[in-house]
Amino acid sequence: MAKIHAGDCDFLSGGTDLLPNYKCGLNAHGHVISLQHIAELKQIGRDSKGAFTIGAGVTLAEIERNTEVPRGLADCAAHVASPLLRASGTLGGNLMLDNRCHFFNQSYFWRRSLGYCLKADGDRCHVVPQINEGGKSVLNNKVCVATHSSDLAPMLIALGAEATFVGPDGKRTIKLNDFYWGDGIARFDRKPGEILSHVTLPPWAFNVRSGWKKLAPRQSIDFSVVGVAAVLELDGDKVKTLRVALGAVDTTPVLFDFSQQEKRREPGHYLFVDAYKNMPEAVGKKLDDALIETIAKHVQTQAQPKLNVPMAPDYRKKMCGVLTRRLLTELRGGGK
Amino acid sequence: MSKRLLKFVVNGRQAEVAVEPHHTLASVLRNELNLTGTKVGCDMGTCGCCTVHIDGKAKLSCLTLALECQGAQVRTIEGLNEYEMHPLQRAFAECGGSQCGYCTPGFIMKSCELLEQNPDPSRQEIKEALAGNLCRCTGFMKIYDAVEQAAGELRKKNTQQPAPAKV
Amino acid sequence: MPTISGSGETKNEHQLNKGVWTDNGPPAQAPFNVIGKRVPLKDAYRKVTGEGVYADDMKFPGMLHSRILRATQPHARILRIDTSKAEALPGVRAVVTGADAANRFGVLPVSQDELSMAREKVIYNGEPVAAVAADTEEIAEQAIWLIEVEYEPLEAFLKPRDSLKDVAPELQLHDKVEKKHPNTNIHKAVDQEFGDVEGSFKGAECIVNAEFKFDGISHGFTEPHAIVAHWDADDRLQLYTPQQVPHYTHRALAKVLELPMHRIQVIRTMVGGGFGGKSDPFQHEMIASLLSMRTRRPVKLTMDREETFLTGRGRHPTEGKLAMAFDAQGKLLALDSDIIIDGGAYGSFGVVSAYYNGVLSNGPYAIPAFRYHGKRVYSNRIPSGAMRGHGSVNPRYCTETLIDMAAVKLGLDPCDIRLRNFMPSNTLTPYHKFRITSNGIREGLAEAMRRSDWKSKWGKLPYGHGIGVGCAWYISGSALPIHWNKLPQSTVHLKIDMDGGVTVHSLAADIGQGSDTMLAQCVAEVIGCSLERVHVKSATTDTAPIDLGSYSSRVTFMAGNAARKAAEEIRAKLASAASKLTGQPAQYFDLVNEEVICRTKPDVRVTFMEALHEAQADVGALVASGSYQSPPLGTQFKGSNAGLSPSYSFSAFICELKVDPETGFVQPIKIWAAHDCGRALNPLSVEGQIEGSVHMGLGQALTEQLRYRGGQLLNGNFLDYKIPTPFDTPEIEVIIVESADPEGPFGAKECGEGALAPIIPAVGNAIYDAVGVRMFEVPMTPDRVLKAIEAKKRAEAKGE
Repeated sequence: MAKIHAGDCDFLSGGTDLLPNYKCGLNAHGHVISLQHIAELKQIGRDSKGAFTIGAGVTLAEIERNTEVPRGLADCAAHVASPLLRASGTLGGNLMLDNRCHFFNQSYFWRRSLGYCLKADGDRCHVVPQINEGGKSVLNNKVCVATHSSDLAPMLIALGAEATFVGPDGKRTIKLNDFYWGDGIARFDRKPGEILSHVTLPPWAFNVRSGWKKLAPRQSIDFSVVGVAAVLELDGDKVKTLRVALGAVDTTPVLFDFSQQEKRREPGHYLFVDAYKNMPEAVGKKLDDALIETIAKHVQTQAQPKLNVPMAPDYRKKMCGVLTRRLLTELRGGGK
Repeated sequence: MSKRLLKFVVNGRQAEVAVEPHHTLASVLRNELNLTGTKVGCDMGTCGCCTVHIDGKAKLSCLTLALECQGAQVRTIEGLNEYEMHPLQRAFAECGGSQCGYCTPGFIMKSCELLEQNPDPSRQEIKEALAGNLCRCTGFMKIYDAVEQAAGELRKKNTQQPAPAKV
Repeated sequence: MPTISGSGETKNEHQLNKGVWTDNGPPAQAPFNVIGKRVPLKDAYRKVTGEGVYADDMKFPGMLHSRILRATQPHARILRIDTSKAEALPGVRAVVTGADAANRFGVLPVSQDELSMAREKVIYNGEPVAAVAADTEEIAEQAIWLIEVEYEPLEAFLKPRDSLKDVAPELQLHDKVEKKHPNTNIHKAVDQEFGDVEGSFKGAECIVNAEFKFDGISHGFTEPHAIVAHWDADDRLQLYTPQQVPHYTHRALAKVLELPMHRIQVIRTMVGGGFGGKSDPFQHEMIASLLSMRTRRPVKLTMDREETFLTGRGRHPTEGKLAMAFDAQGKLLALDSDIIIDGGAYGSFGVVSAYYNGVLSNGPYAIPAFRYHGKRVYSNRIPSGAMRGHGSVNPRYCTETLIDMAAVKLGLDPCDIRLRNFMPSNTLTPYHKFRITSNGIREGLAEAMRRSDWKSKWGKLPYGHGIGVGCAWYISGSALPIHWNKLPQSTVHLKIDMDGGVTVHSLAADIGQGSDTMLAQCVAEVIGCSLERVHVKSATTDTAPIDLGSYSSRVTFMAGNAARKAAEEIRAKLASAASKLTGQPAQYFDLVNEEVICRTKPDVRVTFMEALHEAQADVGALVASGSYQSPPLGTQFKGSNAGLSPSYSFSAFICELKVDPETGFVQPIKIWAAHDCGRALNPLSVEGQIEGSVHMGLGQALTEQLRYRGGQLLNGNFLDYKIPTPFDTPEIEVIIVESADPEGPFGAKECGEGALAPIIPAVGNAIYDAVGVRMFEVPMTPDRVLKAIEAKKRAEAKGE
């Protein structure tokens, strides 16, 4: 069916992100294909080969209540939006969540008053109106910096998850971290007609400590304005594995793999910050307060939140450091 | 776009309605089936006024396409008041859990799901269950009172007369 | 001596304050039968079952749906409007524009500055420009965007200080502005000075001053605006509207539509929350009426959430510079305040707001010298208006913060300095002559201190953990009506026929606060019948006598008194009937619990129904009318009427909270809310009003703000406008203080608005106790709190 409507269809899972956007007339497609009744997408647990998979149609509420998934993931799911939204919202929907921007997530009336924006119906970005091109400041009609606001994406990326897609050309599996493109509009690497089937957690994800910290104006309902996911494996008091991923501070989740195992994709656009630049060495070192502070500072320095979701960017940037420090301290103590 | 036939069960009664594919469950309940007890407050999932049960689960009817309920069992606030008022309904009235009343059906439907899953919730568990519903009048205190009172009544009722065996 | 009760300690059985009530009715010592009982709201069962009918729930045969086209510019001349494409769209039945309604209206007779739809220019982004009635809402929505409007943008006034400037006439938003500043966009200026302000400051031991800033906030009622207008076959307009004030809408409709009032019936539907946001006559009421008159069909207009925000009338964005002077003992000597409030596009209640922002600072403390310079300005933003605690809330935050600062300077406990300055009961304020009757604020604060264990917490909690206090007062109904005339402010009609049902007719609007229940209680108490007999009809202007509606916290005091008076008349008739049946003198009869009993011979009694049927002989149904008019109050200077009320409520709140010093997040832990409502006619409702006020006040204190980008509202939805969720709302312990007002019905005063103001400074002062910073900007969002904490740290590091 997706083939028939190629290019003019959206897939609908929980609907908690797609429908509000449709109601605002945001990039609505002529056809919507519901994935609601595909049982295969709703599986969570070990597959026949013993790999732990979570189907794209599994609701956030189910992940929250699942006792097998890494604690950080359950905790992360439990803090998405509100209980009502988690009852409908799914893993797939959360990973495909459209990037958010206060110039974009508005009604038709509002956007018409503004003169529209790059991400919908318009030709310029109002968050970063000018960009530097060849040493000259020019009108930004290229780069959308809408914020990637998914919570599960940074958490699963920290956990090293892989995503499996099925589409007209068959099945493919990629690292979730390679899925996101770093552009507020193109967003991710999904081929036409393809759907996310499931994510797979690597075996090591079950042997590490994982955690999640979310910053939002209210303690329920809201999207994150900063999210910090961390995965920690200690060898005695020394770091064996340490991965931190930020949500809601850039156009994609931002992974900091202090274990230096995973290199980040090439920056997708002009504003992208290289999370690995000047990264402190952590593996083999004792995770004392000083190292935690160094790591937190690095994360904070690298984070480049934009003024396009609630709460000021400088404040959110600072909070990246505070939350990272707190989370790592908690994980060092064994987690919650 | 052409209408499709939606067949589902609403409050125990078979319903067949021709609906536009883009219409939400909230609009079909209210506009086609006249079940106006379900309210629309924010139309984007952030207030919980439109909460109904779909196959026993509390869901936001403003973010559910009607056609997704093909074959489903839907229960609305009107469905809780058959033969007698649901203890939650009485408790919300008696405890002052409803002032302007606009958020009330959503709160009751969400609370109802909670009590079906957890007959003796703590105040914290009630708070957690209702964290996606907004009330602008009560400050929530009397809503928690109402859920606690109803929970007590339901427990009493269930010990007095064991539920009839499911057919 | 006021009595204390409330949710914390006497959960189920309300304690009655016997012997204080010295009214003319039943003996003062008699226990009340209906008053003071925790009774469910009369309409609660309809609400919990979904049976209650709100405007958007209504359906009529042939009903059309309408949508409004709104201005996409904050300030612009309209060069051209072309509706032809919209009219040509199949399914469109009518299109109206500003050209179809020339008459201006507004809630206050002095500010008739609203048009049904913009005519020559638009003055805010979101102002109605045209509207369409069509077969379906979707067609109407499609059609409005086919209307072509050509604008010529004008300089927009988006900061209140810009509106103080002299500008060319075409840049003035309205023809009529403040006479003292004829070339500006100042809507109203108020200048008052009483007592020796300069001298008091000169001789003061302690002077505190600060500049404050408040973002605008919205009522956030859960029911979006919705109405149905029906120009019926009798050539009468039936308007179904969730109005707090049906009477003013009735008047405005008559003016705009050029119809005699009797050809319009305003029918109040259930109101899904108002809080002041449904108390103006509205453009959408005019628009739907115009469309219905054009098509002769019922027309429904339901707004989405964003339009509801754009319709506005929320609390004014406010900037204030205030100073207070104290003597060495902490006695308050003078208050000097200079306040600008941003009125947005229209006048609305703004003239009153301009006064209230000053004069309502004359309590709950005695102010020996008082100066106020207030300006309300027009701007190209969403219209501000009346919102719960109208005009008193923001200045209250300022004064309560300053008092706290003075306490610190003088080394006094913040509660003690307040106790030293509370005005007494039974007094007049020195200049405005506000008549204070009963006042239970001392008892309230003392009880809140006791329950919160204030003395062992204040100044003694660890860093990041604090406790703070805030006090307030509020009018119990504005003593002066908006329209000057000799009519009573409230009238209530009663009818009892042989079926034994008691019908109460009133136009007091039940907006969820429980006014129907209050009226029923007042009537049932006087005529000794059960509450079940009493049915309140308060929705339709055809049958209801005029009541000015639900604003300024007036309903319990005024409509309650009117109901009581009407019931006294019926009571006399039933007593004479009992006298006729038994031969005992009528004045010996008490009406209690469905019986009419002879006081001197308790065996001699008849049932309510026997007395009723005897009383009905020859006359049929018993009917009675009662009314209320405020007594003459106040004094004679320009503007001296503002703030006058027959009575005032008082409140004292304490808030305990935690501040995360690294993130700036504030987590309230518990609120103790003592409120003197005179008498709690229905403690369940009183607690509900206070708890709701605390919740709403916490929203303003911590999370709620209207954010703009230029003239565009950035957060007109319930995701981005941050109403506190259950997790953000702490436990609230209500302390009901009953001081028995001499004129209030059974001693009652207001409780729905005054309880909002004190929570905001209680939070601010608790933040100071927790982390040592003063918050001068509200809401106290985490980034603002953190900034203040960091500034303090920097200052300390510098050794300041």
